[in-house]
Amino acid sequence: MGNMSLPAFILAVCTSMFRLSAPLLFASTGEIMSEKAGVSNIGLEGQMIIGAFTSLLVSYETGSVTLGLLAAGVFGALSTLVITYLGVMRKQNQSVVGLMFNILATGLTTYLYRMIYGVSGVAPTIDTIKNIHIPGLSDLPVLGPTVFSQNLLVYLAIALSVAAWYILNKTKLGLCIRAVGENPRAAQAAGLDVIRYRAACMLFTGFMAGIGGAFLVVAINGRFIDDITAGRGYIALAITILAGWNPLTEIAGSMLFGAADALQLRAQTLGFSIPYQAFVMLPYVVVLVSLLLFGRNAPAPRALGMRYEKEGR
Amino acid sequence: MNSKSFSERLLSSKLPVILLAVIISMLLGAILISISGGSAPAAYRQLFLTPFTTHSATGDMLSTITPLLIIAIGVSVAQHGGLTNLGGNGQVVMGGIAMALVATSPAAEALGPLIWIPGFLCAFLFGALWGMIAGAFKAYIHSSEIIVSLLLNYIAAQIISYLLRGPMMAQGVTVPESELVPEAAHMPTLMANTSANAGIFFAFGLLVIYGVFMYKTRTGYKIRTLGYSEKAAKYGGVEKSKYDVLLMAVSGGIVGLAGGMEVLGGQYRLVEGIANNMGFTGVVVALVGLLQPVGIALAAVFMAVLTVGSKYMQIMSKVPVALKDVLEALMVLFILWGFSLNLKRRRIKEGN
Repeated sequence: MGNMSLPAFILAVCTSMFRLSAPLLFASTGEIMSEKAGVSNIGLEGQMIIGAFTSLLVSYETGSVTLGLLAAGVFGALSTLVITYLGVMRKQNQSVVGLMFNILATGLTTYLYRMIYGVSGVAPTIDTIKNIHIPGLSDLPVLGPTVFSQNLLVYLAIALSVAAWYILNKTKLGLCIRAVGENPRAAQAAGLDVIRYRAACMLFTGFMAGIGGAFLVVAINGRFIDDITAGRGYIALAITILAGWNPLTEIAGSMLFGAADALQLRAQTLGFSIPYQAFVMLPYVVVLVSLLLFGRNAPAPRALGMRYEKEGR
Repeated sequence: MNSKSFSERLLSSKLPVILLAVIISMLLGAILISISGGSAPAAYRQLFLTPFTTHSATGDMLSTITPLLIIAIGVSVAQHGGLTNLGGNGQVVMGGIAMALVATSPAAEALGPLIWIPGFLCAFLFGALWGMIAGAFKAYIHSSEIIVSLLLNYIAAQIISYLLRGPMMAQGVTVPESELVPEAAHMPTLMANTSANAGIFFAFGLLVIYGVFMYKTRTGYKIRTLGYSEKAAKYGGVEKSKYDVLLMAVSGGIVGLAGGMEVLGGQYRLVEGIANNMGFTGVVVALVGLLQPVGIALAAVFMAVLTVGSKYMQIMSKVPVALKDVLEALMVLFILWGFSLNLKRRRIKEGN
């Protein structure tokens, strides 16, 4: 790898960029939806971990990656009920609930993994999903191997972002979701069930985060490892802010961090004189620097994270 | 109204909720152990009794109380002002790096325990710098201090990884660790052949200072007002953004002291796993202890028992140590649930 030419290097980074941005894209598309409805879901990281673990368990035991992905989405969605109940319905501090949820999810998946597959021995692995070949497009120079030879989930992630943008901005459902997140009182007066909208958006978020976490297993690692998400849930939270809660901008944001991630993976093997740790921390540094540059006074939904009293005074 | 009696009443009415939450979490944990094929009574015996019956485990427990207590104090300072410091792991790392730089220098041999003063000063400064970054993001960019402080953990982990494999690596070792702290500068040992050290007195001393500062001084009162209501604090002339930066800096600085202490006791050198995820456990200690000095002390002892006991449980019963994280999170979630039910009862009364 040490003698890769520069164009080949750039091409390789671009190819990985698309793949590595997908988990962030799934998770942040979900998060935008729940935050638009006014719920600050710090538990994104935990939902991703649950998705990653479930996808391995189900894919490995049934031999079907599709089932594994579905199960990851379903369990990710169901797990949000904890946060919805305590953070929305019982009006506890959503940040604290989300943080504890993350500790719980990490602990529980690690515990179950060790119990089911043992501490030592061979780690269960699954075959990662294949990239697709689009006749014609995949054979294009440059664009072919980078953009048009990814796995289906990568395209699905982008498509869902676009769909989320459409729903939020062009449909009545989107209008209702935004109303619930901007001014719950008024939304309630207009006959909307605020809690129900928030719970539904949280289920969607959990489903998306579950798929995002599963992506790490079924499309990248092929197995479940400790700290598999490595803070991607928190990076996705930052992307949500950076994108100004706009699913289209969010695609660009996810690509940026995908690129940083791809760069650090590739650059480590290039044998620069810079210590490899500098590359490993690159995605996190990029997040913070972009928050610094673009995150100032991002237009957050007005009722984000606030407790909502039904019969308010 | 006297603020002390108020806080005491608050604690006493919440105590049953906390105890119930602990019991329910333990029961759920027992169910989890049972369905995964273990023996819950045996596992819990090892979890709760070993730290008191085995010499080395008792030492481990005492030496674990110290960082948990210090971190929880740091976290509480920020939490009082309405800020959540999730950067404990990174701040411990930064404090540890600072202390190792000072306490493994040639000056340490000559100065002995006197080296602790510049050592802790630097540990505080390094931790404060790390916490301050999150505070500044909160104050000036309006980014969540939760996300920023957490992401900083990952950056700190890479910094220590580099230092211990590069400039700070001890000579003649193959694992990433720093030079030893000279014996003259060690924290005095409390129990022979264990890691228990005098740092625990330092931690409890800090807790007293924290209690007095937070509940007996004007500044402490201001900070607590800020946590209760941003608006009220504004009318009272408290500048929010200034306090965001300052509080996160002080919070990070205190947590950094825990990192410094870890270098002076225990392994007597900087190791890569210095934070050992205690940054999060410290948040749990602060929350379970309701940010109150007595509560924090009790919660720190309890969490130290869980932390040390779970290691023995894993060795003896093969129940994964991760159970500790499950119990810890369940406890806080059930406490929040209990409080929310209390809140409702109070509201109904008010309504009547």
